[in-house]
Amino acid sequence: MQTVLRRCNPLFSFTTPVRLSCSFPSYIYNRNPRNLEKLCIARKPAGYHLERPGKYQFWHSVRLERSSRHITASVIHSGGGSPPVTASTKEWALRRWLYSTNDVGAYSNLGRVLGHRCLATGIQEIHCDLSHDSGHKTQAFIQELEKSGVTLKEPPQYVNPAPSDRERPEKPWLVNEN
Amino acid sequence: MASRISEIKGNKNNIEMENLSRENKLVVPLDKVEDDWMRTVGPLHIKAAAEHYGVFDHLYGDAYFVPNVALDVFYTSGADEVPVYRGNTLKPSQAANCPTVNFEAEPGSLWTLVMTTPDCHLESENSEYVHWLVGNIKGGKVSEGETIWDYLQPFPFRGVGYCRYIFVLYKQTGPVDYSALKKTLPCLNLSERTFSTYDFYCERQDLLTPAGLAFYQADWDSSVTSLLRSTLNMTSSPVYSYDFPEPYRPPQKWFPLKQPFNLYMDRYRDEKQIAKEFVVKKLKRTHPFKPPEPPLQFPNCIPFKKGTPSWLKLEMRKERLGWGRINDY
Repeated sequence: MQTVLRRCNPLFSFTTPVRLSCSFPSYIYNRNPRNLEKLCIARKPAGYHLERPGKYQFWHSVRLERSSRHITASVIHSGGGSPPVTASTKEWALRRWLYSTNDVGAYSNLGRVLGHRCLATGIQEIHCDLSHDSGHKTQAFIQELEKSGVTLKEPPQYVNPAPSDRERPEKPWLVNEN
Repeated sequence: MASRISEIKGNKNNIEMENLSRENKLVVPLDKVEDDWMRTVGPLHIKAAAEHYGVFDHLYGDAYFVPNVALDVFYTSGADEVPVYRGNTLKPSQAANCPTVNFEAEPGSLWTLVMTTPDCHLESENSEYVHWLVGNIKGGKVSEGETIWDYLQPFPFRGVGYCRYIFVLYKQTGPVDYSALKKTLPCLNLSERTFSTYDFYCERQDLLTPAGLAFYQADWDSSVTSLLRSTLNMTSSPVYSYDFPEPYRPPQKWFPLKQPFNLYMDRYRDEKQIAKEFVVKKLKRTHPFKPPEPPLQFPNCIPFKKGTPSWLKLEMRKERLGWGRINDY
């Protein structure tokens, strides 16, 4: 079964049509569904007017679930689907090295493991909605997550300017190119 | 299960560990966590990451698999090792040489390793390029396998963004005859590297079982240009850019009321004509031998000529301040 791809509205389809070359084809397609997010071109949901700000206004966001005995941290995508990265104290791999599954040590170590897994999955920037003053355990989690090399802030979406617009914002994908 | 419970009880009775944990000084060994993780929930996490990156959709259509065999892939670039996990980003210069692939295999078992990219095919949208294919690997020794396509470094073109490079390990039930796919090595013709994992697997599904998965993403760097010119003998290296959708223009009206006529008309003018006007103006200002004039500190303080219409004043202000279309040309 081959997926049939159309070039109707590239911002919402999962192809990236790109153009211009000499002897090469004028259009090629990058089918990587995460490509536009990495280039900051993909649509970031704007949310509804009365919604809590930041509820779904991200590409990737970190979510922390606390139950009476265990904690589970996951990275979710605003487009839905199962979370690409998960770490939990329920996992034997983590559980066997912990004294308790919901004390400060568990929270900070869960942050480290999640950060390591995020980088292995190619997610360097995550939106973090857990407020910093929510308690020393959550703070320890956030600190360790940041220490592991993950940026807890997503870059803003690049909006292609209309010809009549005053400014031409810098193209984020050209900034990092060497 | 009993051993796990006794281990947990041991931790609970460990006073030193308790103190460390209470003071937030307990540090879990990440490498040991990863070993256990791969033996327990790791395969499911790799599958979730692969679904997030659309790997199964683009390689197998509706099918998927759980990669139960830990596939350890790393590149050696200079002195450091660059590992491949499940979607991490690499530069093509780091992936210039053939990677080292390790996996646990019983002696005598046969394996096939494929490295493909489903992104940025030059001829067809839904095809893949195979970068490496080694068949009949005996007992996990990749270097002793039968090389069908030799290794070619990733070549994401300039401006296309990040392409996925996917390693899939198949377990063979017996020796597989790859003579139909054999190419003259080194294979430097890109159209000979056109590949479809779906077709490849459909033909050999009785003999192959997908067992391991690892993939990374790479974007353009200068090593791609040198690869295209020197190794692949291409005369030029292309530069692509994302094709944004056209801005919306409402259909023209016979009588556009309550709208400034200049802004309304500008919306429907020929783009080429506009570009020409801006370029001619720019060329008039520039002198071939003199340096450009320094910008004014207060460009808007220059008085307009008497009798200049207001719409023209707006245009002149925009030009002086560098607003709008002047930035495009």
